[in-house]
Amino acid sequence: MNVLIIDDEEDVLEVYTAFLEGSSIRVSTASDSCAAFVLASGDKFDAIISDLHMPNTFPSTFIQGLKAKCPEAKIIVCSGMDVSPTIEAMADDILPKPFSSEQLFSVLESPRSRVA
Amino acid sequence: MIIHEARKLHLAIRCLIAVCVVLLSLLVRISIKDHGGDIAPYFFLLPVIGISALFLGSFPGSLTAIIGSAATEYAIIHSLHHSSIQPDDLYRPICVILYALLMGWLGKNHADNMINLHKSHRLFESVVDSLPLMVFLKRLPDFKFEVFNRAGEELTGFPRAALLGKNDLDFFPRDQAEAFMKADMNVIQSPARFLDIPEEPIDTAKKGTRILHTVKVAISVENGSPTHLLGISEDITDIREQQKKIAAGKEEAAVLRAQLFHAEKLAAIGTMTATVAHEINNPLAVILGNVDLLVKDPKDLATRLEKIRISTERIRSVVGSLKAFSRKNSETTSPQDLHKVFAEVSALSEVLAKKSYSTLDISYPEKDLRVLAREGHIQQVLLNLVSNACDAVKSSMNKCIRISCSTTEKSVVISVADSGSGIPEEIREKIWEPFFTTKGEAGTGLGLATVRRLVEDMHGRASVESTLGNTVFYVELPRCQ
Repeated sequence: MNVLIIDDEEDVLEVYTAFLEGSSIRVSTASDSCAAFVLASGDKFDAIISDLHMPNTFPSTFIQGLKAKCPEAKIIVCSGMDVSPTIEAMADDILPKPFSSEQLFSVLESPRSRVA
Repeated sequence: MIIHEARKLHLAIRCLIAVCVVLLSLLVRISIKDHGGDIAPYFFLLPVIGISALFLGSFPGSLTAIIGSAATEYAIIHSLHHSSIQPDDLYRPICVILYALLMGWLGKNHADNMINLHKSHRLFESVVDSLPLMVFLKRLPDFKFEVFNRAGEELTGFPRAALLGKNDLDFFPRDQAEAFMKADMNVIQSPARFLDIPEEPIDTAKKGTRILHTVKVAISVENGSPTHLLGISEDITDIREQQKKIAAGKEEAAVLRAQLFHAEKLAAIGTMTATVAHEINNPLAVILGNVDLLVKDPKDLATRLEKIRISTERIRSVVGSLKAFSRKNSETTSPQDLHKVFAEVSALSEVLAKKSYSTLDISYPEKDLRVLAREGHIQQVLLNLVSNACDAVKSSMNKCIRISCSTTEKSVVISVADSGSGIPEEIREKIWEPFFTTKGEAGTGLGLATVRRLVEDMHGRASVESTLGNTVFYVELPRCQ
């Protein structure tokens, strides 16, 4: 399984990478929107876990952009705030921060909720 | 009034005397005729002069004139009758004319005096009656009313005819009447002979109980011990009620204002909460994640613990910022360390800036720079301004917010600048008004009104300068030496 994790905080990225370490999941990380788009265009990802509020982007356009780059990927939005209904409709799953490693695995393992 | 009565009596006595004069004059004529005398037609002048003097002149003056005229007439006629001088001689008419002139002059003087006296009585009466205040005069020692004006009649509801010659005990409830008379006694006995009673109740005949403001003065007709007591009362019942209403209104307005600004604070907290949730949840994610990892495998213990510590610090600083809102507003100003204030505000400001995707630049003031302010108020002011700045830059390409401060000898000017589209000239003064908002439903219209109120409460000044791409809000506060 190929997973892209996007968050503007390095410490958060580190924790989630460590969660998935040792499993069969291959993890890539991006800490800004540009790097995220570059990675998303290059590789094929099964799932993208992204923070909602990334600098220099609007949440909805960012998520839409990711979906356009990786139509196959399951989009999991994680946020420390309440997620607006627009975003909820766009995302395949919502992961509220903070979350445990068990929650992360269960979201990743659950089937894709909707067709892109 | 008593004066009125006296004048009637005076007039009656004069009429009586006038009748007596005519009778006396007739008696003289009859007695002359009895002695075979000749009555010249102009001798009728004398009683006529006497009577006119009576009506025009003063009372004793006219009486003298009448008796004088009668006696002179009799003397002249009698002497002419027994002398060789004939009535046709010049002597007789000259005497008559001289006498007539003298009487006329006396009569005129008396008449002028009388008219003046009469006029001043009338003037006194109409002045007292036209006064909008209740005026009364009580005669000592029994405090019976001697003068009572129209305003007094209207106020008490008692006709003056009933009041004159009576005292308070005849009209007012015993306890009130006794209070009035006790005050009267105090006036007379006090060296100042004056008493100001700011409030006293009075039971009126038609208007129920009214509140009076009364001034009482003891006066004496001649210099010496007081003979009368003058009272002037104003009905202040309506004024008192209005004052009470105004006071109640002011109190209500103050309560409403406090509630309004409290509501603003709550609204600000509401919008802040969502942002704060994010700001706390991120470090929480780091803490929880690291703990999770350590539980499974305690490798990298020191690194992970350090990350936990840093995240905990971050949460602490956000919570510290929130304290600025929860602090009970103090009423007095005290020296506040501006560096500390900036530090407290920075965490939340950064959250707000991040949410609006703008860069925040804070230039910290030198350490130990103190301003005179109310605890927590500068924080609230700054967060309101930063929150506004974040909204202002939303539609700009370049999103910058800068917090800085400059000092003068006596004051410190804190500025919050943004790169937003600016505030149009025509609304620049309106933005400070409560409920003025450009944000539609999203704004309460209380943010800047609160800023101005809080700053002015701290004896400071809030102002704004704005051009396209550069809007600066200034908060000037007195510097602590």
